[in-house]
Amino acid sequence: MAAPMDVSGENVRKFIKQGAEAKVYAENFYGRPCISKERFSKGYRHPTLDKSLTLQRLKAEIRAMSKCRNLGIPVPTLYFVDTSTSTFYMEEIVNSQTVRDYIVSIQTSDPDGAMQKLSPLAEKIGKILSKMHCGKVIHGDLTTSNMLLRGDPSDLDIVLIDFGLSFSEGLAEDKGVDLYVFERALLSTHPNTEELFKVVIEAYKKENVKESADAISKLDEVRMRGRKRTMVG
Amino acid sequence: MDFKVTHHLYPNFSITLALYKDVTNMEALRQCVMKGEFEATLLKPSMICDPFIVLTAANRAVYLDKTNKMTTKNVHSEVLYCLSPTKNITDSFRKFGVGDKDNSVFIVLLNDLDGAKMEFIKSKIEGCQISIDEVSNFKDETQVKKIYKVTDLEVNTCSLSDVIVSRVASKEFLTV
Ligand SMILES: Nc1ncnc2c1ncn2[C@@H]1O[C@H](COP(=O)(O)OP(=O)(O)OP(=O)(O)O)[C@@H](O)[C@H]1O
Ligand SMILES: [Mg+2]
Repeated sequence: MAAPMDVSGENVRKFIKQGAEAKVYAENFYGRPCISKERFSKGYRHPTLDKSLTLQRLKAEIRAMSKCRNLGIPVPTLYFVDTSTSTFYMEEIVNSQTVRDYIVSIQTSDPDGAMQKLSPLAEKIGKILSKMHCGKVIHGDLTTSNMLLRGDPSDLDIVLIDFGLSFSEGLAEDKGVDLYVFERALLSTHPNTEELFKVVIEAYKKENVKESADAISKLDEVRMRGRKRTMVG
Repeated sequence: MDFKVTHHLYPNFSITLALYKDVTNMEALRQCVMKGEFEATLLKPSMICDPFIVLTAANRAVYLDKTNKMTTKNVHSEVLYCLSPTKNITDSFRKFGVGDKDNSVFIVLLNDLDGAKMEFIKSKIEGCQISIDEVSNFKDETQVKKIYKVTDLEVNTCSLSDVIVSRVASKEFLTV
């Protein structure tokens, strides 16, 4: 166990970032490095409605993380939930970088070899998303910033985070939209990743041929709708 | 040899952990707690994989006390309840509470900043204090996995101890 802390010792909270719905801090939880995420209220919403929405989000996030653990998908260990401030405390994934930063660094250092170098990572992502969807978890905000790569990147040890928009659903439609959100996020954050997304989808299929077929045809449908919308708008 | 920290949210509240082996008067100790001679949580060391799990439960128990959301009658019994995966209080005590015939005990004492209460408890124990980290030598892993319903899939991604830490921290949000 980590060294005992001084009884009078104070926890130092370090601000990391402010998202659209939450503030993220780094701190120490009884000797362990910890990330705390505090969902704040939205001024424009009715206070009572706001409180219940915030609580719902918090619960959804805790439940989805727990479900992922059950499915064998790595997520941070949960330390504490404080509903009175809509804050939860989790393990800080130390020695990690976001998949986003990793892709950027590879694309910068080796533009020509990037596709080949990133292929195993894309495969691993496809496999994880397939497992997650088979377990009826829809992430809701799949981006390369919400995936951490722990340790040596070649270990492909991906940890999923940020389940604030997640829900439990087995419908192919929801899975298709989840994949579409990821495709948009990937392509808009990282140039020339169309082929990489294809690798994700191939691995997604391969992991569970039976269940993935419907989700992927929904993805195609959603893409069409998306395209129509952009043509009209 | 005690391990003492202050609560993460309430620095005026301490959490003290201590482990004893070769205890010869467990029945008397349990009686002391039941009669209210002193307040403490007396846990069965075989159910504890890692002291951090107990800390997670104690952290939560103090929080529930402070926010008036306890399920049991006092904060020390709440620690035990928080540690247990079930919502059945009697069952939680049977599984996680020390038994009269046990000869080792993991003690949790809350709200003892000056250490006076711990001194008193120690004067009542006939046994040998050891480091809390040694609790892993007592663990009955098969039983722990069974009671928390831990699957092989889960322990593939992190340690058994971390699986249980997450379970304890998310207890009220999981439908069992
Ligand atoms: N458990 C963790 N370990 C290490 N870093 C983390 C952890 N959780 C979050 N982070 C870091 O903090 C960032 C923001 O976290 P998160 O995505 O959960 O918050 P958010 O407010 O929802 O962000 P956004 O609005 O950008 O989606 C992550 O991209 C990551 O870099
Ligand atoms: Mg995020």
